[in-house]
Amino acid sequence: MTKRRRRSRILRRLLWLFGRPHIRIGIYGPPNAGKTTLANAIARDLIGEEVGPVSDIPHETRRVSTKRNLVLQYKNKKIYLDIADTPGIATKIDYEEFMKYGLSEEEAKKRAKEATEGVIEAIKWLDEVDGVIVVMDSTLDPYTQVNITILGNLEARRIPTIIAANKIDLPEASPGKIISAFPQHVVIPISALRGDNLEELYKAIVKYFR
Amino acid sequence: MPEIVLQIVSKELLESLGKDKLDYIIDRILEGKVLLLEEALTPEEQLTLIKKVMEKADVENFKGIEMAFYPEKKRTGLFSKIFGKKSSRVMLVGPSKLISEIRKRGETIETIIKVVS
Repeated sequence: MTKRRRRSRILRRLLWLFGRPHIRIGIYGPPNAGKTTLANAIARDLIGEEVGPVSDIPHETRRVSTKRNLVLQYKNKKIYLDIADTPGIATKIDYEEFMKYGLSEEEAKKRAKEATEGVIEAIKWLDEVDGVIVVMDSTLDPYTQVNITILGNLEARRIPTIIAANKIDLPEASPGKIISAFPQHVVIPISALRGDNLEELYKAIVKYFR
Repeated sequence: MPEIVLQIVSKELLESLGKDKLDYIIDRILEGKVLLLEEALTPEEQLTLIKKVMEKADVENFKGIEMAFYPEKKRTGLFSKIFGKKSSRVMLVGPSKLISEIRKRGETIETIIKVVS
């Protein structure tokens, strides 16, 4: 654990002790898992605002977007949250993939360049967060190298983690596969799009991110 | 016919490289080699590798990497948990322009390597 993280944890515990708990949460995951949709759903619930635009084209979020001092009310207690919606982490970014969604070559190359910078920024932000929600698409095989690498890092850095098994509104969703793949983690099946089960996610945030 | 170099990198070499390990791996990938590491990178090293790859990436010529590895074997028993050495396993890593697909099936990893002329 880095000195910075130790200091942050001590400060967080002190704030909790003195009745003003404040948590900085990073929303991580592969591209198109629904990270921004979830960040928007949380921010809409808590302050009636959105964090960023969403799109079917991968790597729509290419810079870290934050919303600060969101107030989560739980059991007569106020918890202050900063939410950081991060760009999707990937091992490769191919501009030709973006052209399949109708982008011109120039637009696709610009998007690819920004997306590579976004991956670097997302990785750097891991030093800034107190807890992480890893968003996974529950219609896909969860046992990918990117998911394993992200979770392995969070475990090594001892960052409290919740997996949001997203897109349970889709008929092919199978959140059980995520639960089986990562039994050592808390997994909350959700639909960020419809807001399904977000209450359970909020309960988990309060329980595990203190 | 175009050739692809598969380089098997011993655990001893990886250990001897110390903090230069990731740069060594990236340099070989940029040369167009596919590497089989006798000892997988740690999760922190994997993420640092992804970060370094993205710093080197350019949209035309180097779009990134593919990698596959087995998670380290779970240590069972109190004695081995306390005193046992982590048993990391092999890792395959190479440029994404060559590795078109990696399939993990149980205890085997299959990779499809494209021949780029």
